[in-house]
Amino acid sequence: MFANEIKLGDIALLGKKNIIPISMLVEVCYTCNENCVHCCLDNHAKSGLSLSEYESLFDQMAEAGTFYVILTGGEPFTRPDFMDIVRAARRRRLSVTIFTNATLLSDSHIAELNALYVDEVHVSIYSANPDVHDRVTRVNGSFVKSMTAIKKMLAAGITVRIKCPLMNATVDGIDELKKVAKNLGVNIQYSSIITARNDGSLDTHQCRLTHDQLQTVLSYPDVMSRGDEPIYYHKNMDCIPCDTVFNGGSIDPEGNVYACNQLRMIGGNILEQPLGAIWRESPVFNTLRSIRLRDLKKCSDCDLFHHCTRCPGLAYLEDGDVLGCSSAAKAVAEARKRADVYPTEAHIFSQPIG
Amino acid sequence: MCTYLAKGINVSCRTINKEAFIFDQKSRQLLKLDMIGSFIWDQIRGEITIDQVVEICCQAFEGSRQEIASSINEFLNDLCDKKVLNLSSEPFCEEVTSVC
Repeated sequence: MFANEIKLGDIALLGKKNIIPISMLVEVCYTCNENCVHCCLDNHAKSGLSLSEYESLFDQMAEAGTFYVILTGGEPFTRPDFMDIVRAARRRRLSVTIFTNATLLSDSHIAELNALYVDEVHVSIYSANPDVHDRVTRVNGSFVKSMTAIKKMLAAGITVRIKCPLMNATVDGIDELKKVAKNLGVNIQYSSIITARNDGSLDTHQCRLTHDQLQTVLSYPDVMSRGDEPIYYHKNMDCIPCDTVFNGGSIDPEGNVYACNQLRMIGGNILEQPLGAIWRESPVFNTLRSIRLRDLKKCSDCDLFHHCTRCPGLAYLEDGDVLGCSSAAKAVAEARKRADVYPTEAHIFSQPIG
Repeated sequence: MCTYLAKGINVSCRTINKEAFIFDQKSRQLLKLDMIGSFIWDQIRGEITIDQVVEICCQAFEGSRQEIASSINEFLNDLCDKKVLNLSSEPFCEEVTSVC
């Protein structure tokens, strides 16, 4: 009998090979105590499933082979029973990561998150400048509350990561935010694209980086990683545009299952059918799984292909065609081309298995 | 004297295609067990002792009881060293044993 150490990526590959939802993002509510200018949600009314429905979902996840669960909102701590949900997930031995603004975390929350061995807590911080951060959340004092909670979590031994979507009004402070993160000893996860809202409305685009700002951001390898070599369409036509529909997806507060929280195509509802069956049998998901690079006709003769990190979800949400061009990815690709840098292969697509 | 077994509360785990994957949330180490190890891991739930696990394995696998018991003890000690399994001469509390 043997117990061998393996890499975290190995289990993702196993999921990809066997069509197992290894990692699932669960939106437990759309309610939120902040009102962020760039938020992708088109409403904040949905309060989520009941605790017993989440307990049933976690049973379904255990049955389906899910290993990692990300609990997010809205703001998950607006639910009075959120810690019960976390506890229910951990009792099913799911590895739990939480996305939160952390403003509602009490000392007792932090103590219990630590005792439950929550994997990571990701906190949205938009700037090291409290005023700039609070202008994004549109809640005065939110920066101080979030930072206070981060420090308390770190003191308790919880792994914290800062999530920082870059916006035209915040990007100038990127160096200061890096210093704050370094002093705290936490990593920052940036994103350079502000997406449309879930209903497709584009008013959030006013927050996006300008062309010049994108160009500047590209000079930070720690913000947007770079590859050294161009990648050629015609050498990779059998590749999969995105792994997410193979080994991970998302669930909204009404129980609808999506290939990804950005690819808003519903495969089924966990109140009507078990997650494992939806994952394996949904015609929508199986159609998505059949897509290969060769099906992306507009990519074949696009001179930006070498520089592009196209997301099928954004292509569908913002441009209306899951096989078409993503205008958001195109803007970033143009900036990369001007800067003469390439993305990493991992950002673009993956090799098929089997 | 009985020795009781319980998976660590620091552990996330899942058995996929009869192979158990164990993630220690503290060390961030991910372990993969072979099929026999996975079978044993899956028996560790509720209130269970090493002798009960040996008994289950004697019924499931061929070999002398002594050989099987020796292999199981070596395996369980390895998991203890890796801090994903706890052994105790007393039964664990319900908070621990009721976790899947």
